[in-house]
Amino acid sequence: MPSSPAKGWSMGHNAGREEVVVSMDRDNPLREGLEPERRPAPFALVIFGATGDLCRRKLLPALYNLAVDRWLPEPYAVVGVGRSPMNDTAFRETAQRAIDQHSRRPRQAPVWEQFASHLYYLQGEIHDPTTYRKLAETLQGLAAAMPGRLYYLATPPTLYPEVARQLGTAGLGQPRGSGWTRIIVEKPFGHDLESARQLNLALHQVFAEEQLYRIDHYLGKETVQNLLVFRFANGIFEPIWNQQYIDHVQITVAESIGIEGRANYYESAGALRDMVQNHMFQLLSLLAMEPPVTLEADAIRDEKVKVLKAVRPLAGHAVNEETVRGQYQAGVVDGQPVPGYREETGVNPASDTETYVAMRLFIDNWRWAGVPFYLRTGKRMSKRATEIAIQFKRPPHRLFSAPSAAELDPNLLAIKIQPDEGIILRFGAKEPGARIRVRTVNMEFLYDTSFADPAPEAYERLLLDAMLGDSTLFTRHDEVEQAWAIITAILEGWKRHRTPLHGYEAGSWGPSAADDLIARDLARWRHL
Amino acid sequence: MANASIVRWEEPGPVGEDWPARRDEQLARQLGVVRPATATVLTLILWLDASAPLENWSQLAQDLAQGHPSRVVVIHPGDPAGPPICPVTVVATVRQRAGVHPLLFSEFLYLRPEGTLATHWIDLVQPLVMADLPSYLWWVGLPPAADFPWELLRAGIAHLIIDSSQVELSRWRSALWRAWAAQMRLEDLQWQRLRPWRMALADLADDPERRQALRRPESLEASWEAGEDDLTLLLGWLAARLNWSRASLAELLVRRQTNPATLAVHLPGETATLRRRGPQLELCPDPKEPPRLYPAVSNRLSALRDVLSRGHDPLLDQALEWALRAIPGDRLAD
Repeated sequence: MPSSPAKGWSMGHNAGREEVVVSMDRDNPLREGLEPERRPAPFALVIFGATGDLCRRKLLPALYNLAVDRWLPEPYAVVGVGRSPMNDTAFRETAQRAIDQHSRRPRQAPVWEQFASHLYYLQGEIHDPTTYRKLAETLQGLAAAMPGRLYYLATPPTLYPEVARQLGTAGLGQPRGSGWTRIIVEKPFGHDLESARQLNLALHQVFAEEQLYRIDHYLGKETVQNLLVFRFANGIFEPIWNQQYIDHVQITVAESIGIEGRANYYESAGALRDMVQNHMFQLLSLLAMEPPVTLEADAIRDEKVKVLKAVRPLAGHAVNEETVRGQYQAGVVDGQPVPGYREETGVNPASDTETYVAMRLFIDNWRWAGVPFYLRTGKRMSKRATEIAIQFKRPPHRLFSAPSAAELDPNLLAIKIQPDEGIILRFGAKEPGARIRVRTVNMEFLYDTSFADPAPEAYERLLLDAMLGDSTLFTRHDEVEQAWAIITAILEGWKRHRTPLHGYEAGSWGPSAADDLIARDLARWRHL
Repeated sequence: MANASIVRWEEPGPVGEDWPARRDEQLARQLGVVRPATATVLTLILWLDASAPLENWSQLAQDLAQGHPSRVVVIHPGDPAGPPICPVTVVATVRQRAGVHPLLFSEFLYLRPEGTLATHWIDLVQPLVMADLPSYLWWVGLPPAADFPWELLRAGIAHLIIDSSQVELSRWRSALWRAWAAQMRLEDLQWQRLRPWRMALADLADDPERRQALRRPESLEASWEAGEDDLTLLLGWLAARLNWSRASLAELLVRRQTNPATLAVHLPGETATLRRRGPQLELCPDPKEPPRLYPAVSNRLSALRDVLSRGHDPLLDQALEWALRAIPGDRLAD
């Protein structure tokens, strides 16, 4: 009989998804009907950049809420690494303030006290090998009880290669014994195709791809995950989810906020890098992908990559015809006057950075041939709204002609990502009365009116998944590089062809050139 | 639930198809226009007999509404010789929303029928079952008599929920066979509580050698608290999944009655032990291997939510059929 402690167990003992993979053993008749246990094995989470904004606003509140929901195992440890001089007690006080300010649920004394006892702090410089030696000693002390290690890089992206290298040098990159080691990196993953490749290369020097968890918080949103459920758990949509029935698709990510003091970052990024390369391409690929063979991480990610590979490259003058760049000017948002982008603190007064981008893309495959996908995103727009709208073709024969159906719009399915998360189906209905008059009506599903439990924050779901070794909602290296390949071609096209930068008034829906872009196909942007 | 108002009122009863209109009128009087929650709505009927525990069932309905906007109807029959009355107490959970109509998230109706209405309670319940949505009857108390009209109930309610930790399977045996014959889908809250046991045994069987050995164990030693029906259900599941015959299990099984519940599986060369440890289950596959802990299903509400969320589990049918056949009793379905 087996005697190895690891053999036959669903506890992970390598860097990948061992606990999930093993527990999904299809030859095991006792496994049938049992969902895999969603509780991670004991682990130590190390957060680099523990005194930073991300840790304070998102990570510590997310971890606290996971503790409230009893998702965390016993034992576990959260080790914050930062430059500021601080001891464990001070770090716990910082965490307490962060949770009081940013947690979706109020702090409860017993849960908080239990959670706080798991928090530790290690002062150190990112470039200093001593930091990693001290970390290794700390982790060594925890190794027996907490064989899992999860690193979270909440640092500026320029430091990712250095942290990875130092972890590797200190022998902290690989799992030991029955444990696992994983690393989470935040976007941006590079600023063009070449830098993304370099970053992947640097990370792969120390970590295998299976250990890498590239986080895009959009994938942690319930409504984004619901895209998969909506498409593949219902039988009625997939047969019409193609070029035969769909006229076009619009994806909008509109923000009413400006750059919120992040001029340094935004000046070198712009809307295309900041939103399209990651969040919007995630929405695009989930919307357009083929049904995956299974719900396993790589099966889904394989299909997403195929979509990006099928996106028709925007080369040469096509860039000027298929994209619109914009930059907000002074205006009024939510009744308050706001400055133009070039007047924002820290922004070059002659800045050429786009704060708005609209584009028309085509996916050259059997399903989507000839269907335009219109993408638009911008800052300081009229309101905050993220939505996918699928506009269907009109009926082949117009039985109810004008004037009885003069205002009849084509069917539309709107998937509202935020706010007012839900799904709306637009169709024609007979107006009551003796005459045939057709009016457009909406059939609406709203999360808020269907489920009482508030959805967890995206970071809660993603942190838990990384602890469990489930990489489905994380971005794979080829996905990142393929997205950058499309974006880099556009960036180069903009540069080569001097694509104009259109001004738009803050509080509007973007430059009129974007309206012209979609109007060429006799369509118009949704009014959100 | 955040921003929730609880509204209570009494109705003379009985209530029937006109219930939504009566409810909306009452809510409008108290709160202004209230709209019902959409999607994921279900009807849960609780049948309570005199032996059923006294509980705050309206609180359970409110707790349930957190995950399942629902209509919960409690039928608690009174004196069958009394006048034909059916007073109704209503508790509605309404969620207030800024700038829009409040939302009805759950409605709890406590029906106390007497006289002929007490004996014809199915007729009272049928109009309250929402069409085209999941509907469940949770039978809290002793099983019904042999002539219970399951076919009549089946017209509106698809699922029968029992809790074999409260009333043993052996007492349910005849009623369950009849409910099955009437094509009711059977659910048992105890099945959800057995989940950690099933998880532990499934983990044990992940190893191919152990899995093979589990098909022909040397013996099974079960030490169980009083009331062995959950053991029977667990063994039913194991037997059905591993193709054990009843005869071979009878030979293999050694029963004891002790605390805490323990199941020792003797395989060639090793013994794996599952033992209840407070709120957890401990699996010790072998003295050389570290024990592993499995959290228990915390309470009855969690078990009920699991049943309502996961839907019918055909593996329970297998386990239940095996267990019912193993329990001595009438030979109705044999």
